[in-house]
Amino acid sequence: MEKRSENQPLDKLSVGFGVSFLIASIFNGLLLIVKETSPSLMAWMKSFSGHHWITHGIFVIGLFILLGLALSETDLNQKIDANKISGMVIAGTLLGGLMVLGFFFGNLFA
Amino acid sequence: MWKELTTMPHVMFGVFGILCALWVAAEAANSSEANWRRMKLASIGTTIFLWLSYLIGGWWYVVYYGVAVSNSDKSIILAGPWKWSHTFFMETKEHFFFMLILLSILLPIVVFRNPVFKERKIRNLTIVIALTIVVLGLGMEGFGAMITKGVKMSLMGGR
Repeated sequence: MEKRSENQPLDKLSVGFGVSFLIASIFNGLLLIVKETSPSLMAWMKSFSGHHWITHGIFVIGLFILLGLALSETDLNQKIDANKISGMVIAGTLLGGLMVLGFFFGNLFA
Repeated sequence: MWKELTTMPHVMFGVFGILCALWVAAEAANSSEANWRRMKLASIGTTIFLWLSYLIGGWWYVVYYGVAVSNSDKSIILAGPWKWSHTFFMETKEHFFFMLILLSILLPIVVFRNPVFKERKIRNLTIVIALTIVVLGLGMEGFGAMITKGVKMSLMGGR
């Protein structure tokens, strides 16, 4: 059995997409808040694909993929290790999730 | 009948995706070169099943759930006593789902491109991603139940 090491760096694509997850998750929450409070953006998003939620998905998933590919071309993996990406996954989930939850929870009392 | 039957694959594939992510977490926790192949298989399964759940659920949401007719699920819920099962649970669910989809792309990238069994930090990252998918996925299942209950409450007149 091979011994576990602590020195193997995470590959570039994993680091790029890990960082991209944090950003795209926050973007998901921000886009939700902006579109729900801006009738003109909501109308534009509806007209773009036929449904605002489809447009929302195209933007969030598109940003995640494009940013992930772009960041994986950099040397971020020399500075960011797997532990930091774990933190980013947790932070992205909590921040993005709380933005969505908080917005709709607040709306219940509006 | 078609409309009713096509609600099931969204939930079913979502559950399969959660189970595959749990499988990845279990393999990663006991990772060795011998089970790396299974870990890869389970990570791809997570991606495929969650995307199927997303695409089928999204199609159902756009075509049936939210259309502006009096007998759509959304209209039925909003006419009843549990309006918040749409305004909170459905609205939150449809935007939470994107995080699951992003994680379902990230998971196989990490598993395929890194020797998970060799490096403790990468193993832990794999477990973090997989378990986050499990937690979010189970949350989605619960939210779905609340939405269904919202329709039921409306049809039963709030009793």
